Amino acid sequence: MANSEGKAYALTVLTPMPWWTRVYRRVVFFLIHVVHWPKRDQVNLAKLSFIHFARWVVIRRSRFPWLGHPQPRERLHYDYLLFCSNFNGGWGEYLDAFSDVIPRGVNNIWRWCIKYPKARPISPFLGYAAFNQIDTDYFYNAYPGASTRDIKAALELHAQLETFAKEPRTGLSDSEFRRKYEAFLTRIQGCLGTIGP
Amino acid sequence: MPDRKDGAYLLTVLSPIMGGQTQGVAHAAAIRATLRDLGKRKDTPLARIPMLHLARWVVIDDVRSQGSPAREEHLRSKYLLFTADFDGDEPTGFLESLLEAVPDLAHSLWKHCVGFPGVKDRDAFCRYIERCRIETGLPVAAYGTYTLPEVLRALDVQRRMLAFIKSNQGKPAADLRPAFEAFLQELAAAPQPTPVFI
Repeated sequence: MANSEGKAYALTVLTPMPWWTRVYRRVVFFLIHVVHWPKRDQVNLAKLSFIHFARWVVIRRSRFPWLGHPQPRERLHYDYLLFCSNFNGGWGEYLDAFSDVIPRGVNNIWRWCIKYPKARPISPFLGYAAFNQIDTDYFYNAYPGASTRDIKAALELHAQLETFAKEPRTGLSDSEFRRKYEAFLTRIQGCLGTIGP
Repeated sequence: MPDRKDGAYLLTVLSPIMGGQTQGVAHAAAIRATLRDLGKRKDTPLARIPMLHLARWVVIDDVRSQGSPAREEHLRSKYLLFTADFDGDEPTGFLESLLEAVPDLAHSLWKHCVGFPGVKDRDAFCRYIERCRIETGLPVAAYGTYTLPEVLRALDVQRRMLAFIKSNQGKPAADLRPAFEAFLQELAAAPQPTPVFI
């Protein structure tokens, strides 16, 4: 089992859903991905800044890969919703934030999954996720010492530094340069976290 | 196409694992043993893939029965789930890098899967992965507009900037400016950071 690598956690959850809900889910995914609906959830999720990459995948009961003989064909009653998330922080903390900040969005995605208890109250939701979680056998992370927030801060700092470096400095007195440098430090002070394990 | 989010590609592959045993060990168990050994290594060979942010392998033994009144059902094969989040518009370049960087690892894992053609024929391998690929329904990428080299560079710059600020605190104004110019030159000359440097 290797669910964690550095600051990141790899969550894999596989849940059954009635096959006839796949159209509903396709519409929900389209609304979230293309129309960015509901806006409030998307803004709140972005503010939380704890997900590196995540995906929801619908595996249709008739589309489990079949590579030919001697593999038996699957005969399933349900489609399956696969959720893979790479996030920083603890497992409970992550799901707790999901439940607390975007319960409606979470419910929209998992609605009609078999025995899905809704995002609130939290305990049944955590129980549902734990029951359907599959442990990761190997997890690779190219930046194990950095959280999502660290990366966003570093990208912002880099952009600010490039802008500052391009500003004309010739002709400035030492004290004028110092003032500009200190103003630059003020702009990047929120981007200076210490990264590492 | 939902496999893509900004400049990132989120690949999801579900490969059926062969039934039966190999040298007295179930194929799924052999895959797990390989992945366990990989996890014990201090240096991960996947760091040789220059566009790969995150990846995972998961052996799926079966689906979970949810209890009455839901129907109880079981998979007839075990599956090897592979997910990879990398820079690019399509998987071919990544898969070629994967084969170039870790051919032995790829072979030692997928040789236990049905229909695996080996790693010598790249086109055949790409076709095999395509047959096992499941399209993503909803992708999320927090910084998908940035490539892995850009992310690593930014993290390196952040680290160096912090050190520069600490070492130049309280310096006279006359000394600060040349120090900053030297810092910019140091950044320009710094090598591209490699994955897992931080």
